[in-house]
Amino acid sequence: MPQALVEKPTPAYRAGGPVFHAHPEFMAAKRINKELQDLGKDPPSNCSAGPVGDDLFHWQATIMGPPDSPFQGGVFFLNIHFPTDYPFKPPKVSFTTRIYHPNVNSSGSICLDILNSQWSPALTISKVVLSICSLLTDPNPDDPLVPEIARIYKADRKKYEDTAKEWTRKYAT
Amino acid sequence: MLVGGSGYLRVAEEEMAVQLLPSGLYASPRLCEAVRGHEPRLQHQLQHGAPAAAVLADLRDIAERRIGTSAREALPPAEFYERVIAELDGLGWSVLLSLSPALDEVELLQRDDAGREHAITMILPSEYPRLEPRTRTALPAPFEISWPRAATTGRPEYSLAAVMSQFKRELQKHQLLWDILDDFDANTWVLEPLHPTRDCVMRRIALSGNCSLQISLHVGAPTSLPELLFLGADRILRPLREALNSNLGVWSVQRGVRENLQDVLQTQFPSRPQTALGEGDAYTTECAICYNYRSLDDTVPECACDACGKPYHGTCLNEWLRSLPTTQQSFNRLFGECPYCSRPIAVEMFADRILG
Repeated sequence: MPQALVEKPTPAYRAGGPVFHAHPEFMAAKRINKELQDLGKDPPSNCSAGPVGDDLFHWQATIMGPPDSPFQGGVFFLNIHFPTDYPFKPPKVSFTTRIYHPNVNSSGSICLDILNSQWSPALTISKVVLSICSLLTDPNPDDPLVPEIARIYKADRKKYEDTAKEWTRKYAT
Repeated sequence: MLVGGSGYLRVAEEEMAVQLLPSGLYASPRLCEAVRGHEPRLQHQLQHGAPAAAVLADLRDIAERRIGTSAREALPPAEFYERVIAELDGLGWSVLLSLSPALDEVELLQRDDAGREHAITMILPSEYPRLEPRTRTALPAPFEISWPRAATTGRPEYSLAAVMSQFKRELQKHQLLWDILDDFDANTWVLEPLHPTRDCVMRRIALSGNCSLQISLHVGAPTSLPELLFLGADRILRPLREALNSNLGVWSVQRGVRENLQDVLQTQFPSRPQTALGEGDAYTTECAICYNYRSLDDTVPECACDACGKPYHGTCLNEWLRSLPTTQQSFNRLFGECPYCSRPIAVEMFADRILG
């Protein structure tokens, strides 16, 4: 896979569009590339992540439904987009597989503090994916994205688990 | 060819970086140079929705025509080759390191008095020996050649032998400098550069406690106090800086720089560990935010958290702290939390100043 950029960035030639100053993407690409190497050296269990095609800023991740959750047996796909000013801004992560969860809505958006206000450059995409794994085991119904699922999760755990299992069977296997 | 947003274009046996973004088309400086003047045409194509493949094919054709023709110059006359071969016969073929197929680039080996090997490359114009050859060396100072003059015409006489003998004399000027650098390479743990070339007068060596010291020697006066840059947690470096300030009088230009530094800093530099490779990881002082050693502005991670020791580029820490609402500003300093350990950390607002 070619690296996103190899030359020290200089304000480059343009044909249309605004002047492109020193690539902020250059530093982001180098960090993302290192994260990718680290993932290869020490892959997390039950999940994987990597670029889609040759675009280093667009990744796909898969999470195996955790064994102690109603998502067991399912394989969940996520879309990851790194902003050009990564790691100063968090990556944008969303489920592409439908999932019945109080913190994930029907378009796949995830309500997770480290993807918003609690983001830190000390985090990596590997830690983010692992956090999403634990969110599957332990939903956070007090900060829901889908209040209805959060209500059922709190009031009728059996019904929540049955529906989550049903959705897992339907969409994630 | 182009995949996704960025990739390489193969032009005249050369890979050239090119990027197609929604905001425009970007290319490496060399490629930009090659298609200069054709921008309006490419712009027109882009604006009128021509397929990316077509635009890139066009770009490659233009560049190929320009770069291809400049490479195909007239061949030198037969005398040129005879002359080069004769000169190499005279010098002895054992000093020849490499020779380009067209015989226009000759790399030769010269040994200095200490037996160190140095390479010199000569690029011969096709009118050689009527025109002056260009030379390329790895010397810490510029190498000017004064050509011998012909007694009758007074014109300079270009020859490989003249270059070689002057190169040998030039090497003698830097013996002390290289002795000192070799001493650092042999007796300390050099973290950077990994493979120093002879023109590099900088060494970053390991100190204790994940700190390191960047030493830049003065080419003209190698035994004088070099430029020093301490990198790492202030907690460990403070005593070293204080020792440096109070013991400067001990410095003696009669002795080696390593011995002087160890005396002045009152420390022993650790030598490279012979064991596991992984041990060096503790010293790879990459910025903990961007994961690089050198920033875009070519600075090194000059800040470090006093509590956890994580190193940062001042610019990276600035950019991060500035994005947080909890960060406080006082005069030109930002006060916030270390992204890793959440302990207090401070950084100059405009971190172009190197700390220490």
